[in-house]
Amino acid sequence: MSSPKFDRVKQLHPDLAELLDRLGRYIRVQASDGQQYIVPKLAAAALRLKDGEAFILLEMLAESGLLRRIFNVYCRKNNALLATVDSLDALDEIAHCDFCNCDHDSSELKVEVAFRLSDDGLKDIAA
Amino acid sequence: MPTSDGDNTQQAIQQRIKPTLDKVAVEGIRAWLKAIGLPAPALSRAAIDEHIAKLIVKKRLAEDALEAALIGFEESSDMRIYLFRMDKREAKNASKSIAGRVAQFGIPIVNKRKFAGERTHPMSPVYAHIEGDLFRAKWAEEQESVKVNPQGTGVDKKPILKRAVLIADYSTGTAELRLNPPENVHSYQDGSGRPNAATYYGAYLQKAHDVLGCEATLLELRPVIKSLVEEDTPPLVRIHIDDHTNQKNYKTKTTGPKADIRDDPDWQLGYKKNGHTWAWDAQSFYWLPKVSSGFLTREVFTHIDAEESFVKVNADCSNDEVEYVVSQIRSR
Repeated sequence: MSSPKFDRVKQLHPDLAELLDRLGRYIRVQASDGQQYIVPKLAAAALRLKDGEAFILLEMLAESGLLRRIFNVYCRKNNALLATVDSLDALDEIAHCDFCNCDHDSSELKVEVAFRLSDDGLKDIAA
Repeated sequence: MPTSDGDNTQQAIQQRIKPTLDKVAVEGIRAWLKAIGLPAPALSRAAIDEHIAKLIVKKRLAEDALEAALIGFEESSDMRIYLFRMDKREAKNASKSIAGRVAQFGIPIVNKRKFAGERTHPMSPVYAHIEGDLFRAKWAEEQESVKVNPQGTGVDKKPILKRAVLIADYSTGTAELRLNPPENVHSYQDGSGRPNAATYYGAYLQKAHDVLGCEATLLELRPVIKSLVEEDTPPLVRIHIDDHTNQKNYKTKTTGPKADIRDDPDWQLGYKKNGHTWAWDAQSFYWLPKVSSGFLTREVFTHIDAEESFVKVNADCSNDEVEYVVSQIRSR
C-alpha cells in the first residue's frame, strides 16, 4: 500500500514505518483475497504482533482516513456473525438471530472491532 | 472451620472438620493429600472425613495445615482468573500505600488468611493480608441460583456463596483476580435492571484496579495457547477443545475424544499448512502430572479464553494446583 495518506502516516511515525509497510502489504493481500474486513487479532497473528499493537497500527490508518472502524456483532452462543455496524448505538437494532431463533439482548452478543477499507483506501489498493 | 475446643478425640475432630471438608470434592482432597505425601485412598465422602480425622489424631496432619489447605480450596476452586502485569516501578510505589487503600475500602488487615464465612452483602470484604511486597485480599457475597423446578410448577431457590480473591506480588509486578462465576440472581445489573455477568466481572475488575493502586494490564493469552500447542515433545497438556480463527475469518472448533486434538490427522494438516497464521481464540485442556516436576498429582483442567483474556479452573482445585497453572501460563 502506497499513497500520500499512507506515506503521511509513516512520516508522522518514522519508528513504525517498517511495521506499517508490513501491515500495508498484509491489507493489500487480504483485500485482494476478497476479505471485507481487517481484523486486529488476525493481523496480529499473521504479522507476529500482539493484538494491541496491531489494533493501534490499524487505528492510525483509520485516523488517516485509509480505514474505517466497524463492529462485527456475533451471537455469543454460536459464534455466528449477525451484523456489521458502524456504531455501537446500532447494537439495539440487531436483527433476529436465525441460529438461535430468538432476538438476543446485548449481553448475549459479542462485539469485535474490525476495520474496513474506506473509499480512498480502496482506490489506493487498486492503484 | 470451628476452632479446636481442646477435645482431640477422633470423633470430636471429625465433627469439627466435617462442615468445611464437605465443601471440597473428595477428589480434590485426595489430590492434596497425595501432593503432601499422605495416603489418599479412594473413599466415600463419609470415609474421607474419618480418614482425615485419623491422620490428625495420629499427628500426621496438623489441624492448622488442614485449615490452610481448605482456605486454599475456597480461594481456588471454580474460579475465573484474570492475570495482570504491572509496571515494576509503578508497582513498587503502589505497594508503599497499600495499607492506606485497604483501610479506605474497609478491608480488615489480618495476620492469617480466613474462611469467607457468611457474607450476604455484595462485595463484602473478608480480609487483607500483607507480607512485604505480597498482598492478598478476599471478598465474598451471597447470590441466588433460581431455577424452574422439574415439574415446571414453581422455582427452586438456593443461596450460593461467591468469593473473589486478589493476589499481587508488587516486587515482580504481577497480580491476579480470581472470582467465581455468578449465579442468575445478584445485584450487578445492566441498564435495564437485569442481573448481568459482565457487570459483575466488571465491578470486581474495577475494585481490583482500585485496590492495586497502579496501572495493571491484562496478560495477552493468545501467545500462551500458541506456545502450549507448539510444546509437544513431551506435551505439557492434553488439548481437548481448540477454537481458532483463520486468516479468512473462518472460526473452527475442534473437540477431541480422550486423546489430544493434535493427534487428529485433519487438524494436523490444517495446522501444518496455516497454523502459524491462526488467531488462537480459546482452548480447553488438562495439565499432565508426569511433566509437572512433581507439582501435580492428577490432571488439572484449564480453559483459556484469549478473546476475553481469562483463565478458568474447575471446582475442587487446591491453591497449589492453581499456582502451578498460573505460573505455567505466566512463563510463556
